[in-house]
Amino acid sequence: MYPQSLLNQLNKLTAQQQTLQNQVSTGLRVQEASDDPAAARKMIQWQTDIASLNQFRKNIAAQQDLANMNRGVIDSLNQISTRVNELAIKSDDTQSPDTLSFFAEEVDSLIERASEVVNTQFNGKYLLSGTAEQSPAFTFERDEDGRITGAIYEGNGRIRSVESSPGNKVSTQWIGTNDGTSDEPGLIQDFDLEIDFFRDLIAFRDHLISGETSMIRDQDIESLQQLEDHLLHFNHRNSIMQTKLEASVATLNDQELSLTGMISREGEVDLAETIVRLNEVQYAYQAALQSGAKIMNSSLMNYLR
Amino acid sequence: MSGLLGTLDMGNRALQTQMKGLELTGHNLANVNNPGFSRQRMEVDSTYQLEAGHQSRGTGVDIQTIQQIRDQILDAQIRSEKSTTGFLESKMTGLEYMQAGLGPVLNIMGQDGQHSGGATGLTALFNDFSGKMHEVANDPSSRNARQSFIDAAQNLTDKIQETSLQAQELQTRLDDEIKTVASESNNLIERIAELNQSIQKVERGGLKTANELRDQRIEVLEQLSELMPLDVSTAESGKMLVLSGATVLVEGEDVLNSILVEPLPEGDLTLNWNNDNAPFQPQEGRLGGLFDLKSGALREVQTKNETLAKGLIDIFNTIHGAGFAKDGSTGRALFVGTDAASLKVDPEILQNPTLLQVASRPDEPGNNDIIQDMITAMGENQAQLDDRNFIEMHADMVSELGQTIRNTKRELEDQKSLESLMQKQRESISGVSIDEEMTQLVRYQRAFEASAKLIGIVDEMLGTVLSMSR
Repeated sequence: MYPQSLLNQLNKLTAQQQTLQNQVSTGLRVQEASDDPAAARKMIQWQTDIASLNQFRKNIAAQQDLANMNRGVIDSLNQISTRVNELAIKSDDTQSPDTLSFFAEEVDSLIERASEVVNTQFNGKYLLSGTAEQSPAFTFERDEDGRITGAIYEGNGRIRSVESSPGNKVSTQWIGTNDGTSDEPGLIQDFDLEIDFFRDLIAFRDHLISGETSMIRDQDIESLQQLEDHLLHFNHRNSIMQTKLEASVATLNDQELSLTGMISREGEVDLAETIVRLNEVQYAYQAALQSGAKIMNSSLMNYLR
Repeated sequence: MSGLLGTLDMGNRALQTQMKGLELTGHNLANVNNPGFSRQRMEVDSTYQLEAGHQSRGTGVDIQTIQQIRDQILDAQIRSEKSTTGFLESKMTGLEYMQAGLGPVLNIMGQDGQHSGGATGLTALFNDFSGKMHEVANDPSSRNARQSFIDAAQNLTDKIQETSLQAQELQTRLDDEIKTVASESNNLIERIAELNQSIQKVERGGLKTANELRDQRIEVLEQLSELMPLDVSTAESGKMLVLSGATVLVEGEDVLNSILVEPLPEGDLTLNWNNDNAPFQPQEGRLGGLFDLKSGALREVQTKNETLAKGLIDIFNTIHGAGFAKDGSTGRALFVGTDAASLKVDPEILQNPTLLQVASRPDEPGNNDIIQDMITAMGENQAQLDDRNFIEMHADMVSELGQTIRNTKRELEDQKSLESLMQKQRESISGVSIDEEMTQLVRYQRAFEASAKLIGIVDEMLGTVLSMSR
């Protein structure tokens, strides 16, 4: 009778020692769902939350790459626009026809440069084509001298957005042309805002060629200035978007930190406490062994001859 | 008869009795480690009295009976506790097997052995699946992004299929065990009837008690009650009745019913009584535990896994079917199959990632509307998943099984201490105590010596009497 109950006690204490030792050596309190089902459930949720946070960070990084590419495009267009504006202001009656035709050549080469910039590719996709990214954003009509006389938008008015936080979508994508049907402003052409980059540049160039300085003064200077403002506005939008994305990343980092803390609190052991408990159980085990051996050792047999 | 010869006779009887007592003590001591043994006690009584005039004289001692020290109520209680222990033990064994078998599904650990959400469990696979959807959303026309999404989808469907297979395997294993336990039970039922017959033979004259056979019968009854619920009572005829519920299994030396395993369609099985053909639905004992596991925890995992599979098929196919592939084709399903066992990624999409329909319009390779809808569907509560999202459904599956395992473990611990408490109680009544038997040994030895002394003295007295006639 006694040996059996001693054995039961020893078994119980051994099992406790094993559990505690396992916890100390792994540092984990919950290893299997049955260790703490409620905690396991929470941890699955938190692990998923962390995975989404990481994903959102990746989404944002992709958008940041795109925004950087856009910045490159807008910087180039700004340079072109600034130079064209300078030329427009210079192109008054005081300039000789030769100078004007020099200017015209420079503007023409700027138009050529712009025609390359607007078809910038990123990862093999055209940056300003909307979701029709497989085709160049613009194709160009040329006259018999090879000069660009018109730009035709080949993309569409839709952009692609991705989630930056649960339920929140962002996009840093720009479209080349808004033909009046899109909610997005067009960078190169916008029917709502009456902006047309190539139309205005081509008009200015043609006025330079024909020496119509009055047209430049009355019309081109204003429209080119408007173009400059339009590009500045996009530049500004890009900066705001980048700041917003950086702020989102900071928020995501904070969230991840607190989630990791929560998982650690729920699933990991307090080493000090566990080691103290392990010691307690070890003492109890030794005491049970010692006392048990003593009791079992003595019986009436010792005292009978 | 009295006088010296009568006294000599009395001494002889006393010697015999003490010898028997010593023998019995030896028998008890020999069985000190036999758990089914109940200690035996010799009941003695003084023999008849001689009446001579006003005096009456005793004639010594004789053995009346050899008694087993047993508490029948405790025996019945222990039987019923053994049924409960058997129930919990078989359930626990099955659950542990389940936890091991479904380990990758239940795994809440990461690959690094920490809770950082690695890539081994179903949680990680779900997370990877939705992560790869985001990758496609970021760059819908990228072949790489599409390919890795398809790979993630395939890993996910493989795991769900594997879970379904493992659950099926587990069910087969449980069924096999039910068959084994049923045949073991039938053997024990027969053994009880045989023991009854032997006991009846030994005790026919009414003089002897078949103590050892009775001990054996108690042991067999306890073994049987570990396997199935059991009651013991006495029939009107005085014969022993062994029942399970209302069904009589054994009456005296006759087996009236044994368990019949009847296969059901789809590999399932059920139990019947062979004689009255009534269904046998054990609620206790190992058989009860096995059936409980089959219809409880295992069924629950199977159902949840099916729901996950059907959810993936219905929800994602509907969204995907409305989208357009890179080549402008539409209407293709992302997943094929009808249930967890047959769930797969469409084989053609698997071959050709451009067939993935992620755009809401044809000829827009940069359009990610459809994949965005899929991302939303992944996180949203779905009516089909009882108003949970996929991860919550999976988390519920894991935590519910974990809870069942935890509860069963606790119940089993409690039950074991309860049973050992009762065993102790029975030991204190029926068990052999070495100290007590040693005391008995001393007592019988001294009594034997005293009786021998008596014979010696009577012998001397007889010598004296005989020498008188010289």
